[in-house]
Amino acid sequence: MTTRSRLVVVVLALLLLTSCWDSDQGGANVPVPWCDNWGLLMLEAQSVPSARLIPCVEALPLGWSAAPAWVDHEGTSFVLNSSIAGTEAVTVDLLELCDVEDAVRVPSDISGTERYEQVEDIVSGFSGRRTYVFDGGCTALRFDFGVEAAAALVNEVSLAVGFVPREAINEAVRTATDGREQLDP
Amino acid sequence: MTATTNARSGGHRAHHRKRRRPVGEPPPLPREFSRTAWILLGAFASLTALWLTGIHLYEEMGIWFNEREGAFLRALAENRTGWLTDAMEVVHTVGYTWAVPVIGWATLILLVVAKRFRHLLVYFGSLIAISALVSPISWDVARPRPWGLEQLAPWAGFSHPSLPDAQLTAVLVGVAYSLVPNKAYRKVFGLIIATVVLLFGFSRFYLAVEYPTDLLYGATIGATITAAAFLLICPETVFPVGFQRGRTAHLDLGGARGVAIKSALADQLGFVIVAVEAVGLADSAGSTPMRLTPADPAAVPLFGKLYASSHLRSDRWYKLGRTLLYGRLEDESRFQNVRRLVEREDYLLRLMQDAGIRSAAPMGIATITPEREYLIVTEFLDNAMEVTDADVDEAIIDNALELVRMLWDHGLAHRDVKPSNVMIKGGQAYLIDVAFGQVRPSPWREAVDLANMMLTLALRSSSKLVYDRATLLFTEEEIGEAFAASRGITLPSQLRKELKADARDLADEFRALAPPTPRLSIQRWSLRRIVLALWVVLLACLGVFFGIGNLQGIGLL
Repeated sequence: MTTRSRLVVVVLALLLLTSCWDSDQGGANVPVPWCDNWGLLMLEAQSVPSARLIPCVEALPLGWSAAPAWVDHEGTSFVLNSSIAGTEAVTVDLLELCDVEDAVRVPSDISGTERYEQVEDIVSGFSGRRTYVFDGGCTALRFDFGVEAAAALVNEVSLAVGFVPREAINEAVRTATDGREQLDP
Repeated sequence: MTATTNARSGGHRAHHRKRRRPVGEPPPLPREFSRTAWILLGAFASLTALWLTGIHLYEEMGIWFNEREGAFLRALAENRTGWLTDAMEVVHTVGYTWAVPVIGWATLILLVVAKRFRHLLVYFGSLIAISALVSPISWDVARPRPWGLEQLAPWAGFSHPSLPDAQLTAVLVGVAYSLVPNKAYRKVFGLIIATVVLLFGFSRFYLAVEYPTDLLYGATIGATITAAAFLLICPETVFPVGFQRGRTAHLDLGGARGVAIKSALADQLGFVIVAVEAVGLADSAGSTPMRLTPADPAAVPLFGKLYASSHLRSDRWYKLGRTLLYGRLEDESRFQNVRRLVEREDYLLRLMQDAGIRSAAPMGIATITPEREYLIVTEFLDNAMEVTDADVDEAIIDNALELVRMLWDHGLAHRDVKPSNVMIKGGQAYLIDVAFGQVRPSPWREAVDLANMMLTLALRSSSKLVYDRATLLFTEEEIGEAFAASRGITLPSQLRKELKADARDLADEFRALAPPTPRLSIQRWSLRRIVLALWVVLLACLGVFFGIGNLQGIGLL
């Protein structure tokens, strides 16, 4: 085999391998948005410039995993997978506006937010939506569990998803630049 | 120089003293070493390594760039005007949403139409490679959008390196290397690329979507990867970009190659040639045939066939296709390299000469580029014409059929008997283009040679006349066997076309004249054929699956 033929084979193999990389349009795939990943938190904050709270992955209970996020000028989205509830068991969306028309307002566990709940299906597993509305934005958690024991799993989600105040992200930029820069205009 | 009479060619040729190329001296046409491509890739890899290492080791470096570039973007933002903002939004929309899919798809379609599949693969592959490279780098650098500014245009993901800039640069550079025909035009097109990319980039600065270094790095990735891929995998000298009609196998005989041919012929074979011109391109797919005019006006011209790696590849694809459709015919193993292909043709020419079978006398082989391009030289059958252009009478029919008889008697097969390979000169038939010839062929192969010759002769006469003359040299059973084996793939495509254009069904007429003979199957089944077919189907499915799966990722959807 000539050098050029080998090169073609290697390139083809790389193409096949790299084509397995789930690269979405415009490079919108970013890593898992952990609550201590300040670079990614800044980007999330920029996706909804008015949002006062930015959702992130606080910690993952046993049996849960998080997938890379999608961040663009319209908002942020990431999913949590569960070994019990299934893949894409929870989808977390940070948006400027959320539809809570058919939801029921309940006391919120997050300070500074209004919480709305909407149950869609409890027969074949559990599907529903929890929305946190706050100044300048909202975060919607869509549950899609293929199993019962929803209550316990929803509690675990509460442990997994956290919120970072926008002001903290702004402060991080100011600290890094000795006050010369800030996140928001 | 001395003039000598060559008994074979029947003419004079001017002799140049042959010269052995000393060790270390470059060949007539040195192999194109894509130095540019390797330099590009090396420089790119080094700069990327330095840049990423710097960012990780010195966090302040990233912040320093953010602040300096941010100041530039703020200055732009503070001086925005209504009309310029509107204009930049339009520029951004065109570049971000439309340019890559429109240019990308148009290019892919044009490459399919032009049958430049290698360029198509490289073009598509470059886009995938760029998309796959930008993602992990952007995750690693994790640069947010410009601080302290409102983004006025759509964006996605981290900003460094800029994927939209990388993709736009890549599709345009890909057009330059796959569709722009010559270097002069390419330079002009390069200026256009730079202008378009800078304009799009400026719109992104103006609308505060990215920093200047995001554009710089993104465009560098797009240009480098695409250019290097084309330079390495589709070098211009082997895969020229052109729009003249003709088969892609034919190489350009002008420029450096033309000079190399003349120098090689003088040094290696002693022929002083003043002109090299392409001939008979329409009917040649496996080589680049040419007429070589000697310096001595009294000398007879020579005929040359240039074989290169591209011909080898065409041969391999052709044999793969035939294996899949009909099974591997006997002794259809592919040539390992160009040298073996040329050696074989030269050997067969000499065998034919030794057997007294009229064909073009071989004059030798010249190296143009070692292991890549060789020129086989034979006598030029001056004033000869294709059999279908001649007045095909009994004498010519006898003469041509006698060639087949001699092939059989000497255990040879031509395997490509068709009108353009049967030449008539001075009332005598010659067989040319013996590259596909075979020693000790199967009886089936011998039968096919006979059938093809009879069909060729009948095109300009009649099946009855040809049959009657054939029975003087072959038994009726042998003729029946010939037509029982002859159909479809056994006919060279030129012969097939001519038979189709002829109002008569000559093959059926011959079958009616010959004794009834059971049809001989040309389908050959083997485990190899089945496995090969499964592999091809699997690879095609994988290719389509991953290709479609990546269309969005590379910006074509």
